[in-house]
Amino acid sequence: MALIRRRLSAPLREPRSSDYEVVDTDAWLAIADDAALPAGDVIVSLSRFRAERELLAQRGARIGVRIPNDTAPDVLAELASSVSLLAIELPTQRDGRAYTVARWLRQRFGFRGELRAVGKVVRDQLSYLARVGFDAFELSRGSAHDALASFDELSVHYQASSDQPLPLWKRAARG
Amino acid sequence: MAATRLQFLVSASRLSDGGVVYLHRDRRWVESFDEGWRHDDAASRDGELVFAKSDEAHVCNAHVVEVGVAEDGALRLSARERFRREGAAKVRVRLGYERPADH
Amino acid sequence: MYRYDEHDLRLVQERARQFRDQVARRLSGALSEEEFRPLRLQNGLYIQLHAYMLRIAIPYGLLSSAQLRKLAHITRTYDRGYGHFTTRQNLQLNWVRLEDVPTILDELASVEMHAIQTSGNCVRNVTSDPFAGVARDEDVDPRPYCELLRQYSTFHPEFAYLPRKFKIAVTGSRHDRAAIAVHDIGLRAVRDATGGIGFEVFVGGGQGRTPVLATCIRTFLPERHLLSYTEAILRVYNQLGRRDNIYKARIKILLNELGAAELTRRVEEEHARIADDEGLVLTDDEIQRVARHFEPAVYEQLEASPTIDGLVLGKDRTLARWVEANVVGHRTPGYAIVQISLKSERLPPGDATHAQLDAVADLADRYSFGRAVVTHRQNLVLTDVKISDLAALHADLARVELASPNVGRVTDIVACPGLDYCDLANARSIPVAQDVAARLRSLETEQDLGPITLNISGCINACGHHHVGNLGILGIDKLGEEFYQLTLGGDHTETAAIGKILGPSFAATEIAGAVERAVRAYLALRTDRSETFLAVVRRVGPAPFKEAVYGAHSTPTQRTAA
Repeated sequence: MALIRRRLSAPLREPRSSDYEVVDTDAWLAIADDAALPAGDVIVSLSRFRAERELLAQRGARIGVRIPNDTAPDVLAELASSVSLLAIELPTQRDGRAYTVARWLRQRFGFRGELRAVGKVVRDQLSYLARVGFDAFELSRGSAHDALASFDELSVHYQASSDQPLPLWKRAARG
Repeated sequence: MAATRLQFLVSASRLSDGGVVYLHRDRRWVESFDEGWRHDDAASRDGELVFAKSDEAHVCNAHVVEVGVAEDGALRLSARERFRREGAAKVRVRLGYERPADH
Repeated sequence: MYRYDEHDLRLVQERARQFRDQVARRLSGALSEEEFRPLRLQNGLYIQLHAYMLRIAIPYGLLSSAQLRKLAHITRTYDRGYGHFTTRQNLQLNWVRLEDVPTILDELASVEMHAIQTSGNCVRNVTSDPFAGVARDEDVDPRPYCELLRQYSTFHPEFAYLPRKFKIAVTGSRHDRAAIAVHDIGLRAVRDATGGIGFEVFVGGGQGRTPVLATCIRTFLPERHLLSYTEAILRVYNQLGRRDNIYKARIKILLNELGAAELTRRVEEEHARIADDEGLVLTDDEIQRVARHFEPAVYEQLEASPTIDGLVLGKDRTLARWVEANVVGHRTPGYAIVQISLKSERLPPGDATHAQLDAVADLADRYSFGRAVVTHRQNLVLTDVKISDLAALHADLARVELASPNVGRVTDIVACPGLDYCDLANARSIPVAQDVAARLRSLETEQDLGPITLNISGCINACGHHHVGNLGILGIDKLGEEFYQLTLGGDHTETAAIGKILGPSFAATEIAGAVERAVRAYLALRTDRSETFLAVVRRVGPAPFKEAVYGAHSTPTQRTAA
């Protein structure tokens, strides 16, 4: 599995490839519901998080939760203030609900942790995903190094979004 | 209408220009409906369809065309497949962009 | 018209490059067809029955003469010498090759055009009133708002994968020439008592399988909230719209399932959170900046004569008929709005050849400040022609077969490409349009039929807008044969209505005759020439038409060809 992540040193701004890196060894471990909890930072399902919340909190490691792309706003609000990573599942390329979930997490609920796209994640969506607030991407196929170039394909972004609070007309002199 | 039996062709759109093509018996794509491999049984049809769908370097939209064959040999196709079979050149004649050939 | 600045230009150039790379990756096998499909669709590239089709965006229908010439060049060089104007004011090329598309995009970028979001489940080309800026009944020029929406929605990262396509139309006139009632969002720009500009906001209109007229959810949205309110609607729709069935995925279905009150409540709730977001609130300066691109032409002070009415009464009856049908009053004295009919005897409705596109470019330069507009009824408009030039313009148009005197008349038929081209169609549209027009042309000339809209769709997706034609024809497939349903009473204007099916469907050979009987019934039923077809339908109801079309003892069984 190829993981791309925004560099910790990168400022929050519109996507460009120099702000991202391919991660070879990920500190986070995705843990199945029936697997024992290892040491270290783990990503668990929402149901496991709910069932074992106390236990997870006592481990002294960071907690990540994997959520579906139709998670309700009240659940997002609760998670935004209590975990370090949220992994949103993209079931297909065409199902765009994760994009709104990401914007809510960033703008409405102030989530500051890592927002990771998992599931059907293809190179040609990375820039859009980055703009709505994702900062890590588990690419479902293809070379992660090649995919970095996609962040530079379009350099003009008309709208404000999670990466940029101002629309183009407030950022640049326009004709 | 005379009793008909069903046959099946595998068809697709050519990747380069979207042109209508049919799958030949030796797994070449041909433009002529008549050169396409007409299957009588579902098993051989399905096998060729799997090949057709995997042949993404040459085609897309691979699908099965149902052909009703009457006792007198006349063929019956859906309107869509009838027009695909007629080909692009007929469209321009029918719509008034070109005169029909004189002969 | 809107001229690109460096940012706009860079974006369309980068987009062409990006698509070139995507095509290369598809051809090399790095992208599967399943992965490539949504990407090519976001760029208006379809696979049709016989070939690829590329849909080129014409934002709110507005074209410069340079753009028209470029389109002519593209149809000549990369296609077969003609294009098809659509009901979304776009242009479709029917015979492009995949490997040529990136080069076509480069050519388009060179004249500030693109094919971005002309398909796919995203915000589509924003449409508007073709008379915008010159209409006598206009309160507010809608085009600056269309352009603001175009930029806002172009590559919007959150809304590229909506449940379904999303169509926005904007008008600023009392008479609705933009069909806002059948759009996902329809906006009517109005002024309040103090002169402030705002919008009446309609949501959830659409055609297709389930035709619905839009519901007003805001009577006055201040203009500064145009984008924030649009974003609130899109966000609620993206979150809640159905994704299990493409026929139930449009916002009209969500509105129906939630109820207008609940949908409005959710939109308002979301809007309350973002309404003052500095990323969304428009300023007067920004609105003025964009509006400056649409300032009125510099008109000459002209004499009061000749007048449009004078030409209608004139000796040259050919010219008079054309002026009466195709020419509309302008807000500036001495000028006229000229509609160029793309409904001739020879070509399919909405089609134009490369020579015609070049000719319109030349005529736009000579007579109308170098601009032309595409209408959602698949015609072209020259918005600023001197009345004293009308006779010369008419003669010039006639030389390129563009002088059909039938705009708004029954032979001004709107038709989708149908089964001659379209992969989704169940039946042909164009030959039916040609049959009906051939049958009615002499009747239209002899009798003053007045305004009648006739729309033909080759399938239930309703790209030919048959639901809102005064007469609508819908092609259906019955056991491999083309059949046609006739609907009556549709209306796309400010008095919008969905037409009702008149009775059993007709075979391809019968439908033109059925339309003629309906039109003849109108002639017999009208009180005088001033009573329009639609007015008669509304006064007498469908029964007399049904009797005329099907005979006194119309049978409920399926009619078939003799």
